[in-house]
Amino acid sequence: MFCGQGSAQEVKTPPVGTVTAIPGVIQVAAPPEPAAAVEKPDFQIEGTQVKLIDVVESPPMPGLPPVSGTMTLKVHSVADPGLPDPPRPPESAISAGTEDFAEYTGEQPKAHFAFISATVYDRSRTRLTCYPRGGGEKGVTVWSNVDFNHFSGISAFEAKGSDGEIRSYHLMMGIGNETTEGRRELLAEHGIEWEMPEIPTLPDGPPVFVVESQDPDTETLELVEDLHALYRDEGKRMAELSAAREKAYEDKKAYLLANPPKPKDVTVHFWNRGDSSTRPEAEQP
Amino acid sequence: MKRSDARQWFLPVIFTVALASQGNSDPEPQPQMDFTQGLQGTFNADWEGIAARTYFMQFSTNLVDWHFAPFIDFGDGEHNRGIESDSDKFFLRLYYGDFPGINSLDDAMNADFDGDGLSNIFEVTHGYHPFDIESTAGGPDASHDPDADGLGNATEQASGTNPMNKDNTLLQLEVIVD
Repeated sequence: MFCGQGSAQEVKTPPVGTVTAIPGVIQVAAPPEPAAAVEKPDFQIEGTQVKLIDVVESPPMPGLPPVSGTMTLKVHSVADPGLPDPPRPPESAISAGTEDFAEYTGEQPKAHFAFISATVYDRSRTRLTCYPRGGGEKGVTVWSNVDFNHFSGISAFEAKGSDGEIRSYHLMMGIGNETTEGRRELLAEHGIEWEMPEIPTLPDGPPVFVVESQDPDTETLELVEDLHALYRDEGKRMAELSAAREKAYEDKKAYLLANPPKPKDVTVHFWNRGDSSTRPEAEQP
Repeated sequence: MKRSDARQWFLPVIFTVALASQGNSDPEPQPQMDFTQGLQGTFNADWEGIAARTYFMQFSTNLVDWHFAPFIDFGDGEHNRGIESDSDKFFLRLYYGDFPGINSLDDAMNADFDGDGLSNIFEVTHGYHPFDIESTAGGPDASHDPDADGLGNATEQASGTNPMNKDNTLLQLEVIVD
């Protein structure tokens, strides 16, 4: 049980009738499938310059040393390989009628773009501020008993209310973590006494929240409810994937510490493509 | 044909650097360069030129160190360049200016904008900066000897030899007098 300090406030739970779903696959940390190999042009080199450059690059992950070393930069002047210009987009893709478009969009669930700022205290309680459509004027701040680190890797979800309306959310979420003891000690070293935020008392268990904002916007509050409904429905899976993600992160960090990457050599080809009127255009795929 | 893994490179960042437009207080605005994906993993950099304007292109893999592409373009009309690289990140920018007395591409290539004794085209095709007389750690560009054959760049330029290849020795001219 997290030791809250706040006064008693109304603890809200997500509506029972709301059903949620996460479309697609939640990314863990596995590298994406390599893209299909591209057949490069067969360049005819006309001139080359080679530079050895000492570089210090930012580390690939926080907490690792910078990537430093000497890279070889090769710059080739090459003859025009004679590639045609890429095909222009098909006409039909550009000139879709507005009526067709309206009919298409009319069948889609209402899309919401939500900007969310989450600060998680001691991996236990989250201060959450939600801005629908990125507008700051309707931002709603709540305290939640959900560890919103579990939301990382989720960029979209859908909620269906008891009235049958489907809300499709696209999330832009910034998640930060605060360790109260660590913060207190850090500031104490500099002679500053930390004023810990007043965290309301929240029960452990199913997702609940209390609203900090006065007169919260109804639509934004609905987003907060839907986020908690999603965690109620998918929280176990989200927590497992979050743990897997953290393990993969630590494994990768350990690997990079044991095998420090070196700056990669770079090769560049430049050529003059000539006048566009003399170049053919590639055929439509 | 060579094969290579497809990479998501070339961040879509394009910008231009206007050099001093000497003698022209109100230079004609430079249209934005178009940077588009070409075929077979290549990219196209296209821009509309302004009359009597000299164009250099610079590239970078880290937005800190900028290198000159090995060519110079000049004047109005369309300029169309192709680029391919295996770098994970790649940035391009145009580096241009209106210089008095420069009226053709030959003028722009043969001029020596930094006055170090090396022509602009020599500098950009051999990895030097045409506006900096000491653009590497090897001392002044004119006396720098990257192939360590005992001949500095100015000598190699005057002799028409390759400053990057010490086997490419001075051309010996035999004068036959009847």
